[in-house]
Amino acid sequence: MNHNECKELIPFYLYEELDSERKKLFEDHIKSCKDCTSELESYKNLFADISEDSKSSIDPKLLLEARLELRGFLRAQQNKVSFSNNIKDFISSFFYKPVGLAASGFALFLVGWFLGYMVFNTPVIENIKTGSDNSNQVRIQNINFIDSDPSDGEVEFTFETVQSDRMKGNVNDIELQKILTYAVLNEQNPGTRLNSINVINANQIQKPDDEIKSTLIAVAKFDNNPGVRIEALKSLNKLPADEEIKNTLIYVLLNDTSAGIRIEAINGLANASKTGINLNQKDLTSLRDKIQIDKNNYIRFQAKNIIKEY
Amino acid sequence: MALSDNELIINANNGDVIALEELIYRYDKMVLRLALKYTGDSDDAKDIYQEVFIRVYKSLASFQFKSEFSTWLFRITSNVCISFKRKYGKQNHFSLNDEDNSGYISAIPEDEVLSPDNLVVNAEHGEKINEALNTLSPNQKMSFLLKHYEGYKIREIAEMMNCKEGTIKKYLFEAVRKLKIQLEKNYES
Repeated sequence: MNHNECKELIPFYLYEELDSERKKLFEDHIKSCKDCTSELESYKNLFADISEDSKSSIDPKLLLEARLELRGFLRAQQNKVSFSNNIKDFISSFFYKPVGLAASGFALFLVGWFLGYMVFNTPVIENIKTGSDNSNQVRIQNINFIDSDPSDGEVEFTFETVQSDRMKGNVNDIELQKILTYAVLNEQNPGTRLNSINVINANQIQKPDDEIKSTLIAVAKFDNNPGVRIEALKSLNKLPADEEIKNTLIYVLLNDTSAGIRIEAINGLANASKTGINLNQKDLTSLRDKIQIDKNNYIRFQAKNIIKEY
Repeated sequence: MALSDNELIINANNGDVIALEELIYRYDKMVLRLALKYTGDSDDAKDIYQEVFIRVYKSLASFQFKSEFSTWLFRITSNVCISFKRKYGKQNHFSLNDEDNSGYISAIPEDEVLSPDNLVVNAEHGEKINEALNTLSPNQKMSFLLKHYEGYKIREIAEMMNCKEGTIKKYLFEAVRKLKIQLEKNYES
């Protein structure tokens, strides 16, 4: 084996990805060659440095933000799927009516029997402890059929058991805030999400919190309800402007289909730029694009103003 | 006992959102870390993270169980990373012509290369490695990150990047050579 061949194999020798024959040839050459030995040592040092760097951990705040945004998207998608499934079920109920009625009647009987059995015979699942309500009322929800065909005498489905609880406390209470933050992201009812944002907002002004801000950002970008999105955006606009909020405003401005929400975003952006938030080249290009393509006169006018005043 | 990836996929495909989230949270740190190392920018890394998992969500139903979920996930991640850079044109540190040759290496004068003894480990190394990574082409960088930061075998990387093993070896060889020279240069300056 000559020098060049040996040097080309160094990384793969260190990866332990050489076959036994090549490995032997390589090691034989290294034993008798000072030049290649020192080259091998330098690669070992390099790999050790890289290995050290690869152990660095991810910033938990960045991970949380990424997860919150993704969760917002997934929840919005789930809602869309549930809605389209409901429509499909409604339409299909007009077809196959006789068979469907018989099957669903029987299935309902089995479901009722099974749920009764589960509610009265299984221990209640441990839930969030708030210490405010000890009632053991359990609700069954989100029943999803895996096998809804009763013809073989068996059906299979999944469901969730939910225990009711109650909480009363100060809006600044951390536990209470955590539950409301969860509700903003996960509650199906848009009214509940709106109420939660309003309560969070009351606390947020006094004491801004990164997790809540990230939640508001995720909701402003991805919630499927325009009313909830605009409330989240209004809450964000009340906070001291920073890079994250600016990026959210630009994202909403470029992607939201509701003109009202885009107006809220561009107003927020105008205020942010007045308070000294830096607009980079990419932001200015986005605004220039808005001047060209947005259908709303006010948004085009505001975009022009921001660029002019910047 | 924790469910396997395949069990979680089956549950997720049956509409179980909790299973989907559990599956995502098993690997999302690795995806985010890879994206961050690849782009060097936290906003870009978050965009890649979103795009990767949105693609996973949309195509999970078509997952064939022929490979490991992680292999499939990193195939998506490498596609998104490479096309992300191409899409936004931010990758301006490397020459498109140096993908498969050592032109960059030969352009560096001999006297700029330090002796092996001068390779020093210090606290600034992470930053210097990031700078050096910016000199790699997207394919070289992705192969390098999958090898050195995620610890995959060349065969697995080839499967993830949909290339032959020989091609990955070429990418890795060039990546390591460039990084070595770039780091030596950085230390000198």
